[in-house]
Amino acid sequence: MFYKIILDHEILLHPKYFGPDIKEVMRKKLYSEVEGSCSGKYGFVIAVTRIFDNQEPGLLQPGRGFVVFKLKYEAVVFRPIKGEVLEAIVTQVNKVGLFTQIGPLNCFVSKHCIPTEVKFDQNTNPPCYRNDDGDTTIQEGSCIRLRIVGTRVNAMDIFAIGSLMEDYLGGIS
Amino acid sequence: MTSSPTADPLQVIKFSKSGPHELVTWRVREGDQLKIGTVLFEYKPADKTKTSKFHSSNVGVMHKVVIPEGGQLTSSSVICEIEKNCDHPEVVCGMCSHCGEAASADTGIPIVLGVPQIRVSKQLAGDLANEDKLRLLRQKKLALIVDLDQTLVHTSTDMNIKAGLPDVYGFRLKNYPHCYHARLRPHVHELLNKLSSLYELYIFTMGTHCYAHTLSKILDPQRKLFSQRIISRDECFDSRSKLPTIRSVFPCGDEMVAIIDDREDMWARCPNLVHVKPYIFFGSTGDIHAPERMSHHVQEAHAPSLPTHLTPPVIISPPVHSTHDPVDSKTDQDPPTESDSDPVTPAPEPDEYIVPVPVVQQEADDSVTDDKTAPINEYEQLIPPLSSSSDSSDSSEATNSSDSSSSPPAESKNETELTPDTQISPPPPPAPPKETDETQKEKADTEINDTDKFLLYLITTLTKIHSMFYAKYSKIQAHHGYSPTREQQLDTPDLKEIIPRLRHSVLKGACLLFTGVIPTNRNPQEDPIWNTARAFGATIHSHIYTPQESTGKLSPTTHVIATKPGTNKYREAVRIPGIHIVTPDWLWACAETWQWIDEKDYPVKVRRPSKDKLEIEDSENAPFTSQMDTIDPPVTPLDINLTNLPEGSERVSTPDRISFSLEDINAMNEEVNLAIYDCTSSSSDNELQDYPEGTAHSRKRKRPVASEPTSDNTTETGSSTDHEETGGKFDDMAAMLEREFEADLV
Repeated sequence: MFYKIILDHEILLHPKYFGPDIKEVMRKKLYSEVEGSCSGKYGFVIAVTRIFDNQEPGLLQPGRGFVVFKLKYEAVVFRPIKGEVLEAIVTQVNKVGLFTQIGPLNCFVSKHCIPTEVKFDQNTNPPCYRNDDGDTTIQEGSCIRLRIVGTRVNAMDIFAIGSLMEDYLGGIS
Repeated sequence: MTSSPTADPLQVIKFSKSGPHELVTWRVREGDQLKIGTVLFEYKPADKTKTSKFHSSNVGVMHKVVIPEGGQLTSSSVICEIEKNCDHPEVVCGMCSHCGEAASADTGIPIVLGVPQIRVSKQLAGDLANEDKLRLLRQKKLALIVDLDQTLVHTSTDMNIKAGLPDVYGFRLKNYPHCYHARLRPHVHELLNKLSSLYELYIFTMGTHCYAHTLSKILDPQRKLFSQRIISRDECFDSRSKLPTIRSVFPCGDEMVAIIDDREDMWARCPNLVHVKPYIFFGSTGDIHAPERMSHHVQEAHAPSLPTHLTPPVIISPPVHSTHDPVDSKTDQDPPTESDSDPVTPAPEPDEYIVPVPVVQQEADDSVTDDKTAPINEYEQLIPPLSSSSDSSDSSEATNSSDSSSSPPAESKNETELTPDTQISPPPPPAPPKETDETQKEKADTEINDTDKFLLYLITTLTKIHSMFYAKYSKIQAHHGYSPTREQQLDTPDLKEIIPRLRHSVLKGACLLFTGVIPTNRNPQEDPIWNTARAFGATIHSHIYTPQESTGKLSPTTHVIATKPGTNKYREAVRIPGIHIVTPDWLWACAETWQWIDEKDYPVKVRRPSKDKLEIEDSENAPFTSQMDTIDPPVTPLDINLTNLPEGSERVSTPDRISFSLEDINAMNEEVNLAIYDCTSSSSDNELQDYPEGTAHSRKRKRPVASEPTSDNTTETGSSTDHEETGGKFDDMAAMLEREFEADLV
């Protein structure tokens, strides 16, 4: 699920940037450091939408000359929630299941959680999951819809387990 | 279904929608196994007819149905109870992929190649493996694990490889500074294409993940052959053996798995290994992915160089050539090609005579030591034949074969063109205009002369193995008499029996006698040639049995394998008609091709006067000189083959003799010297040492340097002149005890 939340970030700035466009430098630095990052707590930071005017002055690092600025910004974050239905792109197909990507999130769908009529076919190239009628084929690059049945949250990344065992889940064209 | 159900086993399912609903039908019964998403029941709003499904959100067993069919559902009414029990058979990244709960992955087996995060329980692994097996059986295939380096390709990181060699692909890998050049072994495409209909191919290399995938793209651009079945060092558990990894890829037994690899040491005598003669194209490089510890040996292993080789029988040319290919690889162990660039001076001078070549492949002692020593074997194979090329008389053959070797040096003169990017550069057209005539010619030579045909033999061998397996399998099937059930289908023959048996049948009926082949100072049964002969089914005699003499079970000797004429047995054999007198080359050639080769091509040549190898070093090298008597590297052609025969599974590389490199010898000498020095110096110490009286022995030190036990003693007393140390541990120990005892007394 996507959220719009306000977050903090500290930026360490080299003295050479202290000048008229220091704000611009800070902004760029914030984008590059924050966007695409992931924290277990808030999820993946997708985009910074607003940077609040910096109220606090920077803090000079004794003996180094670097300055730490604390920035407050608003960002769109993506946090997978158990039970959520999402669309994913299949990145790898193997005999135990599918690896997929939902944007920045990696998600695994076990064969166990794929309807039994959709079977693994190793002989095709690339290997795929498909049912006997052939109207569902899931292979590398396919787009599927899945339900997240579990997430594992580490400090710096999130991993999810998905399931296709429901109506309207599975391959989408 | 035993382990670790979640803490709260009973979960109550409540209805969450508002408004009156009716439960239409139950789709599961009490006791049914539920997965996430399993439909529990169908329901509809009380006033409508369209039903909806209610899915389970847990893994478990339906414990109790509370509301019967037709019952009314109201918000928060209890519908049923589910007993959660997921034993987490499949754990991905620390999470059960069935129920989504956190689970420990410690016990699981990583079953998917390249995806170590997926760990499955033993039972599930077994099921999956059985499925794989069934699929293979249905397709009439087997699994074949192929190694890359020196089996299908030879890759070098040498910077001096010129662009434009045929079938050489240059590439770079991310995060690695080297520029790699991979030369495909001749016929490799033929091998892969033919075998892919009989075998499911797996790549297993000690290279990195990236390397393995890059090469697989070269070998198999459409990814038809290997698909995702690529195992690299990154997926491997043990850097010194491939065996454990294979066990996890085939958790249910590897009886349908054949292996081709040039390094037996990585497989610990696995019976289903078909050994491949190492392929060497770039003279300066050995196995770039040899485990680090092993590569040290390169330096130590001074390969003997092969002098002229006389007979290159047509059929067997592969062995011969390849021996030459290896040019200098070994002696100048290091990739830098200084020595290469000077083809005239044979790099490996002094040593080349030191080590008798034939010894090269030794079945050394036991597996324990194998590991360490094995690499040597490998490197020997790369022995530089430079001397041979320079003095070889039958130039055509020798030059040819050595060409490939000599070309790298030549290349180094040219500006090397390294492929700049990560992309694979296709093999450049044979003769780009910019090259000089000379290089073109050279190139052409290279092309022509890399006549390694080993893979062709390998195709035959592997095809045979496949057909034997399925012949046997259909027999088993027929025995059961009807279309196989799952269990019966799994009852298959075992390649670990078939391969050795097939190997054993190659020389069945041959009765060999070795003369002048195995050095007298070693146990013949440990010699690689002996073991190879046995593995290929030959009987070995220690005396010649004539047809008349042989009675009963004892069959007459059929072959005398000699390195030189003139031994007693040789002379005896000459008088008996019907005995083939051949060089060990013959045996190696048979071992390589898995065929009984015509003996005519391997006559024993009359010894040619050669520089005597005794000029070697001096007395210190006694072990070698003694061997030299037995084996005569400079003369016999066989040596050549010896260095890289393909051998039967039995042969576990590592000749101990070879393992005495110059350094080794020097080290030994030093040790001896030290020992002598110690003796003398310690004899002067003797007065000071306070060993209690005992039997007086002349002092003989077994462990010269390290074991001087006395330094502290010298200060103690100056009384006793005698002391004994018979040189065994016991004496040391006794002395210590006595010292202690004395100390106590004081």
